Amino acid sequence: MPKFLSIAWKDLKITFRDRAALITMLLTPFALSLAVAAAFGGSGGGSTAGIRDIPVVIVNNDQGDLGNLIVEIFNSPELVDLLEPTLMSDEAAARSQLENGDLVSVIVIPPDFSERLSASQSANSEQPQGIVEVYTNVARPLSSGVVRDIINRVLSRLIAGSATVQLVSNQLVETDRIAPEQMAALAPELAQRARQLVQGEGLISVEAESVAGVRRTEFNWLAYMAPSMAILFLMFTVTNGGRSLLAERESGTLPRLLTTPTSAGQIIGGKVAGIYFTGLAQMGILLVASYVILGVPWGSILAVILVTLALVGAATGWGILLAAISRNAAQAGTIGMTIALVFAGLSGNFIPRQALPEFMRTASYISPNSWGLEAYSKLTSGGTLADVTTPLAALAAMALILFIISVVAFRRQSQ
Amino acid sequence: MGAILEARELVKSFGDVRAVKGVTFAIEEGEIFSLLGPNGAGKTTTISMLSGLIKPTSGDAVIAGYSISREPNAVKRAIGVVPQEIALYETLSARENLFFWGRMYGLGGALLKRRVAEVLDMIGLTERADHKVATYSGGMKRRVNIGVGLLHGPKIIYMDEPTVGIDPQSRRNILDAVKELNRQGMTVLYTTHYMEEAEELSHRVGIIDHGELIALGTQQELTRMVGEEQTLKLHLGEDENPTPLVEALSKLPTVTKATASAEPPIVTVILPEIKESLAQIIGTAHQLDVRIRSVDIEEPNLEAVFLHLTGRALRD
Repeated sequence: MPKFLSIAWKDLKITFRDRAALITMLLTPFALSLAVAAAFGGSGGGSTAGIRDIPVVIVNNDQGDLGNLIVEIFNSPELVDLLEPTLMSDEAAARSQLENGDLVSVIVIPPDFSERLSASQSANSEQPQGIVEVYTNVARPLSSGVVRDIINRVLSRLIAGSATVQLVSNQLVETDRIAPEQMAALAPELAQRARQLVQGEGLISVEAESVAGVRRTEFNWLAYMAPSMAILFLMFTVTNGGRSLLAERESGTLPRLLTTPTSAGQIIGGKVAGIYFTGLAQMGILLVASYVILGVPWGSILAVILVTLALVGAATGWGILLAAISRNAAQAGTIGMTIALVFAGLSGNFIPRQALPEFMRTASYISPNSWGLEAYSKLTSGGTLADVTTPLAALAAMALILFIISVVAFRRQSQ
Repeated sequence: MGAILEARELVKSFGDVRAVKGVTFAIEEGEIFSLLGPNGAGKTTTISMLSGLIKPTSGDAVIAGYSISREPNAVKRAIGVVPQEIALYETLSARENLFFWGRMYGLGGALLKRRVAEVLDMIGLTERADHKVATYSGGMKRRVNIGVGLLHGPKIIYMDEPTVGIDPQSRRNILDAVKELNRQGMTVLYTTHYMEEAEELSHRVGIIDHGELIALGTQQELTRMVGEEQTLKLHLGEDENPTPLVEALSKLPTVTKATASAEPPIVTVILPEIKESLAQIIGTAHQLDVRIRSVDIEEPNLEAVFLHLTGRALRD
């Protein structure tokens, strides 16, 4: 057996004999997945969502027609189970109910909503800011996130639909197909077309996308929490792996290894392989257990294997970088734990990504958690290998870049 | 027999600090050679260079015919290193540790299996070979620690202060093991700050202080450096301050050198003739109102040599 594999095998043996480590690596993520999923209602493959009947009040002050369109969309059959919208005219009363915790969200459509939307389009401007006011209940971040997501999507579609109608009207006039004075007669018909455009196929797909995994695809909390917790605890494992390299230096086994005819490259290679194999074993056990015991629908086996290989590679890269930049094992433990928790928070390992603000979702792409979760979510929703090529490439690139940075850092240290 | 190890002008600097300042010595095949010096003298740095663990700033060493600068891997195959701390994996058994370290030395297959069995027998742990090292006593761990260094049949074994922090019985076992290894033909490089260990074990001793080898030879050769002078040890009362007495004794014409250690308070006096001076020394202590509990007269030893050469006691 090559020396680096002997070192990796030794590390694997040490880790898997440690009962405390096994509890942290395997039992805790499994139990947490189960607990969170149970708390929010999802308890098995293809189960229904934990989020439903979200109480929303719409205060529609719009003098035009588009405000009503929003109200209609919120009452559409696609959203009937998810939302429980109520129309109110008294904004203050609605906000009072929100403050009392009776509501998840209050949506206030201003009197000039239709007018501002049209004006912004004719001025060819960007999406107008503050066009609709959305107040949310901070105590219910998941449901608030869902409402905010829906309203954003609806507004985007409205603006796009309105712009299209505006463009068609302008072209009709500019190409002399109709006279400007004939526009008034055509206005009701164009408005109807705009309505169809916003409510049509495009919007249905928007709804399907915006509430992906929440309603139409029957959001499976276990299918979300199982990979989330597995990835979070994988990060703890690689942190421990990186820490163990420094711990070996402190306990004297690393200096002793260096007095044997074993090169520094073989030793580091062995430690990297040890972290990688440990992470792989952990993920493998968790994925198989969640499939066999909990029925999590992992989807394409090949895709899941490839994603897991790349994910553990990227996570290992972080573990090795941690060892390269830390002064001692205690510092590596502290930094590693912080990184693992920050990555988990940013990436939606605790709450669904849809509920997170856009900047957090963007920032999270620095972490393996985000790419891994994105890939697993696509696969558990029926995606194929083709759907996860971007996360796969990102994870592989992350592993490579981090490994190169770590090698440079180790060389600097040894000098 | 020829030299199995030759250190030539070894220098190691860490930034502006010169930890080892041109150390030169040779170790003959089959001998026990001790590097004796106080903590921080440069013993571990020297042994680290001779192990290939750190590169010398200048100078070289040839071990079993190989240069540590040019052929470090060949040197590493020829040496066995027993570090100061227990460098073992505590959650693995002694057997698993030996198999792992054997592989690191390039052993494998039947040879590795045979060597592990032999070493377990040699260190007397065959019965408990499959128990986790964490469950062993300190002495047993030390034995495994030594066993790892012997696995690949080295030509010379380095033992870096192997008795630090262990109980007297384990210490005795280790000293006996070193002597037994040497009886079987093993060359040993032993570092220590315990004068008694160097005296008991060594064929030759190198005294190292502040990174310099200040004396080298057999025990007789070294003690001859002190000449005919004798050593007198005054054990003071527990609360006594030895400094005023040392200052007063240093001024006496019959005293060559006087030093003190604080805990327990002992004043060491080197002088040519004790009989003539003892009354005067006791009288001086009496005048200073320093209480003397007991007096030891010692033959010239390595402690006296160190004191003679440096003006300090080994354990200062």
